[in-house]
Amino acid sequence: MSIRGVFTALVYREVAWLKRFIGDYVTIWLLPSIYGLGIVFLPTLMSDIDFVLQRFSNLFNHPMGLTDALVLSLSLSAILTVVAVTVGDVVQTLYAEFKVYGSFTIILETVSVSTYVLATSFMRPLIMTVLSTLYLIPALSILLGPAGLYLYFQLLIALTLSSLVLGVLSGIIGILIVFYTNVKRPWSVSSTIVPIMLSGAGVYIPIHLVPLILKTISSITPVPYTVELIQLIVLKGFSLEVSTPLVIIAMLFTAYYLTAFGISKNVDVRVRKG
Amino acid sequence: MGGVLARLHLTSYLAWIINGVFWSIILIIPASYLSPNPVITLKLLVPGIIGMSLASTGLWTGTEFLRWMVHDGLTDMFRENGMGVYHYIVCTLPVDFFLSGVVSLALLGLVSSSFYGIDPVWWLRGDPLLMTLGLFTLMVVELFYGGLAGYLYTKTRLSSSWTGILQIGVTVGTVIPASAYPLPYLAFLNPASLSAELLRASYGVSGFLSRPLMLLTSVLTPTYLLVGWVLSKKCDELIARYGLEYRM
Repeated sequence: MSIRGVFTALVYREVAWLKRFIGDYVTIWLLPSIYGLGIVFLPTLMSDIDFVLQRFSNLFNHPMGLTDALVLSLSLSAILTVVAVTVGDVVQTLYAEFKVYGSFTIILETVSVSTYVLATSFMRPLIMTVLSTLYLIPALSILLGPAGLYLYFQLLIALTLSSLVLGVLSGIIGILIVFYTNVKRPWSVSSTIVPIMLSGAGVYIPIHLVPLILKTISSITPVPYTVELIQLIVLKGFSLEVSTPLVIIAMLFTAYYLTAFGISKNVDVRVRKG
Repeated sequence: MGGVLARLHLTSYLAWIINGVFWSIILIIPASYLSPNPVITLKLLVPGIIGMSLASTGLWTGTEFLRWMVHDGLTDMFRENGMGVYHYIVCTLPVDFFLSGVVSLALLGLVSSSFYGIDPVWWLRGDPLLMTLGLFTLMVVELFYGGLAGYLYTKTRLSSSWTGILQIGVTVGTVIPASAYPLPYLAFLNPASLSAELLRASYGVSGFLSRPLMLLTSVLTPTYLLVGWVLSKKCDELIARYGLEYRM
């Protein structure tokens, strides 16, 4: 099959899924929107909006009006669905293909386990990051006008990089679940680790306020560094400061890639031996 | 029977509780941090999360009876033995109440206290009567939303993802205190708001006085129970008339 054929098949499948699971996509877009708005407006139950904006400005060491605060909180909220969708999607796709649909033999006849796992770990996050953050286009455009669209593309780069690392990490988790455990409900694993990763990254609060145990768990994932990256992009643009979180994300990617490759290669040898 | 179901779903229960608690932490910790008094804001928001938790459990338990169990043929078996969606929820209720209500409250209180270094059992330090009422009305919340999910599932083509969207609507309605609504009593159209408001009152942060709230509880609790029961009866009638197909 040609590259064009693969691309057409992928687009066809995603459009068909988008139509079939539109309710799920609405949930994926609603959830971060509610979180983004809730962060700014829930504290106003106790005080006026000026106080909240003052706290927001102090928190990020950057003067912020209502529009700035909304742009920041909505942008940060995008990480919520990107993490949830990437981890859930990769783990469950691997589990379904290997254990439910019985496609394992067909996969083994065509490619190696490592190629398949790494392809899934790359492709699903790439597609799902774009689809799960579509709500940001109208949201940021309403708040910032045409500049909102430019900001969206900058955020998309940061989120895509992060989701690739998460995709490979999820590939490792998926292989461990499928081949090394007897877990029958893989969604319970992904739905447990996702909110722990996210709450350990702070997302809307400085990481030093997060309890040590949560912070430690989160620090081995790209989530806290992506949060830092989003904050920098929204508040300062693509400045030189983004290099620190980018380097850490790249290092994590290398480490996870090598681990995923090693484990899946080992699985490939084991299953081919029977 | 509830015990057997709970054992079968133990992994799901644990995942559900951890998932709910930590997703809530992502929202309530920053929201309270940005307010003038984080501890009072926590006391305002945590009861809403617990109300939402039981409402969600009701929605999904009702959906489970009519969706997954249809696929496995269990719904027919239960119905042949005279058991409808309401009875099913009554069976799961004690475990749901304990895990999704009490354990979630404890875990949420504990995790949130670790962010602020406050008393880890702050969530226990409320007025005992109001707290007991708040917790026990959570069972009514689950029955109401279980009946509603059953009715909507059989009456409409509501898919699981739209149940999720309904859940988000209930969550927003419950987390926002009733006193913040333009017409505060309108919030009590959502039974979870009553439980949340009773818990808030037990912590002394409700916009309602205790006595009117207790009076309201005595009127609204049987009303919610009745509405939930009527909805589940309608659901049973619809299944008896049209059957039930498996759908996602």
